[in-house]
Amino acid sequence: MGLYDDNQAVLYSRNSAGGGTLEIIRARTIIHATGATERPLVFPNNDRAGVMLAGAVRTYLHRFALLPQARAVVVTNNDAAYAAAFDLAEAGTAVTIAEMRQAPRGDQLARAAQLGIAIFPSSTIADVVGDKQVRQVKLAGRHSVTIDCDVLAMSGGWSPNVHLTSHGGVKPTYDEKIAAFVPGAFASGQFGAGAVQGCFGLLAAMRQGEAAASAALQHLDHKKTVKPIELPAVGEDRAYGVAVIAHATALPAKSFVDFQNDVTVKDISTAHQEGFHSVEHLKRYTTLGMGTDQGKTSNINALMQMADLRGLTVREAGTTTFRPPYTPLSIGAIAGRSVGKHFRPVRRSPLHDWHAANGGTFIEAGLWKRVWYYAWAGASPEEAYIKEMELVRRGVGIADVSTLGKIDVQGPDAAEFLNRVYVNGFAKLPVGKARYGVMLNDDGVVLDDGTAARISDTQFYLTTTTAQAGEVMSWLEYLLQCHWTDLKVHVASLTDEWGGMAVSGPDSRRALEVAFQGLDVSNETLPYMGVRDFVFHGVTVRLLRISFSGELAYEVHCPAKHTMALWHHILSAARPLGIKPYGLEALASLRIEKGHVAGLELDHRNTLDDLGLGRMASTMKPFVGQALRMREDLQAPERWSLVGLELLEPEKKLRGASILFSMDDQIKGHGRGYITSVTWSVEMQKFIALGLYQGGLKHEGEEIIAAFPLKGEQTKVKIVSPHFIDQEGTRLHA
Amino acid sequence: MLDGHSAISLPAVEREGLALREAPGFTLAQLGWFEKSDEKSLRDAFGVSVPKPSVASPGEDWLLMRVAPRQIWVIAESPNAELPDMSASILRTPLSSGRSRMALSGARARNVLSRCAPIDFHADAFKTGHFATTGIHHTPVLIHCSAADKFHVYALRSFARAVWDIVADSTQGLD
Repeated sequence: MGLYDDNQAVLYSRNSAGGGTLEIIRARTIIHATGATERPLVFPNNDRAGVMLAGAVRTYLHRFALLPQARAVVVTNNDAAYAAAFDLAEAGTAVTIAEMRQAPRGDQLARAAQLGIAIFPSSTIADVVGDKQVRQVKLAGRHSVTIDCDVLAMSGGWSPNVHLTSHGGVKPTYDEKIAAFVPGAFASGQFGAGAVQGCFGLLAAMRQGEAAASAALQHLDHKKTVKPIELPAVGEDRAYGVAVIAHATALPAKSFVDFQNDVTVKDISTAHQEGFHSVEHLKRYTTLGMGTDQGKTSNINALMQMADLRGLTVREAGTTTFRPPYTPLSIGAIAGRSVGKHFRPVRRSPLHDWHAANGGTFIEAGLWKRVWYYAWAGASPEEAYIKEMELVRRGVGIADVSTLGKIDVQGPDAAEFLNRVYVNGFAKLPVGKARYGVMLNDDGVVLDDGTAARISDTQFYLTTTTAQAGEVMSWLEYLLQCHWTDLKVHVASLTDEWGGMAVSGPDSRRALEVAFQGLDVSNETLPYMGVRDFVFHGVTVRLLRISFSGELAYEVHCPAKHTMALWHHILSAARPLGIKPYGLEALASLRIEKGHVAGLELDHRNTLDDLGLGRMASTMKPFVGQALRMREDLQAPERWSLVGLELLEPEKKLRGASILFSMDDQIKGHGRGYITSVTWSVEMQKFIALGLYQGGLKHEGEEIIAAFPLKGEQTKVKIVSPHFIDQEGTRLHA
Repeated sequence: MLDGHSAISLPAVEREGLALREAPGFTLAQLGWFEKSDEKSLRDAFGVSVPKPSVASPGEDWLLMRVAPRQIWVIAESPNAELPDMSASILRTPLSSGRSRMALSGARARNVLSRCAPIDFHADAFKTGHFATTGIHHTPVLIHCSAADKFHVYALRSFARAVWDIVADSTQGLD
């Protein structure tokens, strides 16, 4: 069915029930002896019943004991079809040969005479007469005669079955001598023998087989040599003697090239007229070479015609790419077994079991199961997230942030590396400090944001968004392996190695003080964006004073296998302060109040300036995306950029993905922007949102319309700063 | 020390000619380097040369596996093992928490793995000591043939239970 990398062969065996099974064999060596397929000739009405390949006639005769009623015509451009003519004559059929070449060979002529076979040299088929089956054949060329017949056997030559040799990407090459494609090469450990290489003689094929076997054994380091094979006592190989003979006159439209897909000469001409010249385009435009046959019989004839129309040789026109499967197979054979609920893998945080046992309702975030909200706060998300937000704004809450991407960046050039990756400077970040950073794709569009903490002169600890963790890791590896191979930096994903929890709220410092007694987490020792490692009960804990919620907050990270115990400990120690867990909905809503962008805004379409982060971009150093972010379109003043939105009609609801219009606009089409994130604000006691709006904060203070066509709703909103709370950062620095 | 918590926590699966069980109690670190001279330091530290790809080298107390051109994994069969002294220029990244390990053993273990990963697990091709970084259930894993018909599968901790489920499921219906 197919050959894949490293000599992996996939075999398909049909069973009696009509299905089949696949077997995979990884062979140390492979010998291709796949033979060749006879191809038809193209002439008018060549699809009539009774017109068939010469090889098919022999199969009917020898395998199924079926013989044409009385009269047969054989038309050929090569010597191979003579075997069919002789077999038919010996079985009692009256045979006439239309020989497209100038003259048959002497021995064939003599044998034909013995069997009473008439041969018309330099003749081809002008037409096939007969409605439901062939009745007569009209010859053209040197002999314009009409012959009564029951079957027309044709042979347009043989095409080596090169498909398996090219599944690995090796293109076949055209061999003028046999007017067919042969293997361009064999992959390492693979060899070929016989017709697949364009060798059509029996003895020559056996000698090639012997040589291929020797080469295969040598490849296997086999010590034994191959014993010379005993060749059968048959006459010397005949020359194959194929000659491509162009039809004397233009073929009428209804001359079939691909019998399976009913592609005619006219279809190929039409494709050419309409500009589908490439063989790949020809295939897709006409369906030629598709289907179960995959062009085994039709490709060469079609390529010859297209090459002729383009004034090229077949070699220049090339061939299409062969892909598995080589032969048709049932869908059942390739279907995987049923895996039920395991259809896709589930990703669990180190705290998953705790959440499940303590009232957490999960929501899917990519492959992760994250806690949406907890039962302590309410039975529905609408009820619960507001209570959880209040907990963080007024006391202290704890959230599982283990799903954040975490990356270890180490090496003497680690600072230089990050300095190039992030738009803002990292070269001079002191040890023990973290910095918010944004990285761009090389097209100048924002890739992701996160923090990078400097652990030592040569080591940084990066966090990324949950959604982009894998992409950022791949991006960093790509830059190191392909662009900056001179930098001495190693990166390693720590997303699974470290678990994390956010301890957030005005009482968060007090919570840590009671949890880690004796540890100084004062503002002086651990200021905003400070980082420190300490050992707690034998385990390294990393404390980062960073905040997603906008409150005084910390992230507490530790090796994942101990995250559960640490979570338990903090919850238990800070219980007198009223600490409780909060989920993803509250986490995401708190950040909207603060005006932090997240996945819904970082959607690979927005620039730094769109997100209000343009001032972060350093002018003192180069960074990835620096040049292309300055493209005219990315700097256009009317781009959709980040705004805050406040609902002006308290009796209504503000919905995510609402389309934004100015008050004078007709409510139709894509509007001037849309809402990316929306929440009820516990601070402002109203619905607020982040959105992208044409011209952005130039319109601050304007009243606009947020339309939600799915429900036929329209609401008035006001454009405000996206930072709804604590614009001075007093809470962060508390 | 703070308690450790397994990412799998599931009972062993035992069938005729097969056993699948969690195999905790190891220390895993990734070591990276830049200079050829660091390889000598590694040899001195572990008592064995830096291995070639695909075949693990057992050192004195650690098993070494090359996972990238200038990166190896080192594995000790005890939790919290201390890395030996080596050049300061060799970069160390602990990964013991980030990977969960399961052991699959028995005469039919190779059949199970063949269902799970696109690797040739024939005994002639995947011999004792061989390992492969590959995928099970669309997640990255490292599979190591630790003894005749015994394999360790190192899965990312967050995916460990999903990988376990698929491997356990694959032990069924082998007859």
